[in-house]
Amino acid sequence: MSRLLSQEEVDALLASFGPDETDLAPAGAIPFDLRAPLLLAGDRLSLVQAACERIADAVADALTVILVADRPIRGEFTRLVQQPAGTVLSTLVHGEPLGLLVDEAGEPVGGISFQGELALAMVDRLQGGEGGFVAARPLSAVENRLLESAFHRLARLLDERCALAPLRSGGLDRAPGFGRLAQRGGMLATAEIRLELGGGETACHLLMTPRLANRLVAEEPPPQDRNAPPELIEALRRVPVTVETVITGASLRVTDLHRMRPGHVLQLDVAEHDGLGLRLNGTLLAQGVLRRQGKVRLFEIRQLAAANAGE
Amino acid sequence: MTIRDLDDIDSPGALRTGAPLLDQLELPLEVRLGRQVWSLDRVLGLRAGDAVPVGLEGDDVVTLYVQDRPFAIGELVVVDGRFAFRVRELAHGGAP
Repeated sequence: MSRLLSQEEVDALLASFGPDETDLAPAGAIPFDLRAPLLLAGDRLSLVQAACERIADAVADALTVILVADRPIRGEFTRLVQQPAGTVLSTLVHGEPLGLLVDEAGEPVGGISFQGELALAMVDRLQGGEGGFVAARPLSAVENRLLESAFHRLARLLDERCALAPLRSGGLDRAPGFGRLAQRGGMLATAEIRLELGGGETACHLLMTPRLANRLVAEEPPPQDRNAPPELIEALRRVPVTVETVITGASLRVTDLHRMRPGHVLQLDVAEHDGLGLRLNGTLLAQGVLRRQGKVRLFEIRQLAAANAGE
Repeated sequence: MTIRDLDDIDSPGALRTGAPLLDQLELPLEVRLGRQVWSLDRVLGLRAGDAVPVGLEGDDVVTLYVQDRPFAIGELVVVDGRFAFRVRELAHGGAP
């Protein structure tokens, strides 16, 4: 026999439901992000690819810092592949360590896998070595710890310098096929970044969940905002600037300067085939060597100066 | 850094600052080979491997700068595989 509940009974029943019981989502469930479709296509794919080219530079710059490289390491984005996470993670080359990238809430949103040569170079540098190119081999437990520390730093540098931010290191995933990224499931976009390391070529892979890839699209300014008006660009191209070729890096004592006379030969500590500088308005533009072609001397560019280099 | 044949010459007139510490002070040198005016377009087109003329032929003079000031003009030569500067004339402010 049924009856109507009194108001007190209704209140008592409602009060018995705690906040946890009203959350119907099972633990560990990941809310579907409508802004981040599972597959990148069309304009979104083009934007992500364009952003990956810049991220390749950011990764290369960060590795230059970590490896304390003599010359800037060059990074080149070569391709983007989209596959289910399980497929990507289970087919990582054995011995290719994977560093997890997590978002501000600690959720895994991607990762970076390192080819063995690159991982060993980072470990070698931390152990006081030159950080040069070494043939790939499995890492020991201690080397894995060192690599993890290098990866923490890499994540920090990327967080400061690229559109993937905010992100931080979630540590090394020692069993990627069963790790946190694999448990998350879904699709992964994998960007391959080729790197020129001293003595050889290596690569790393940036693994992006749709959520991480979506950040790249969101951060990308509309093309019309990026480009200056064509007439302004054309006018700038015609602006005259002064460039000069210089030999720098030498010095002399005051007393020797005072003894200098016509006919003296002052030997500079710069080898004939050493670097000369090409300067634009006082700022180093390129480094190179002097060549002769008949009576004419040519400055042959070996390397363009880094963006922040100056004199 | 050496000045060849320095010890062979009689240099009673060689000046000293009078302060030994200053005499030993090292000043930066720079040899400027050539200076040209380009369009920014040409600069933007530069790539590694490009060769650009520096506007210098055989016995053309170059300028030695000390601490960004012209000190002497002379010739760029190579001695024992290293660049060297043969003094032709001291600049007004650099004359001893």
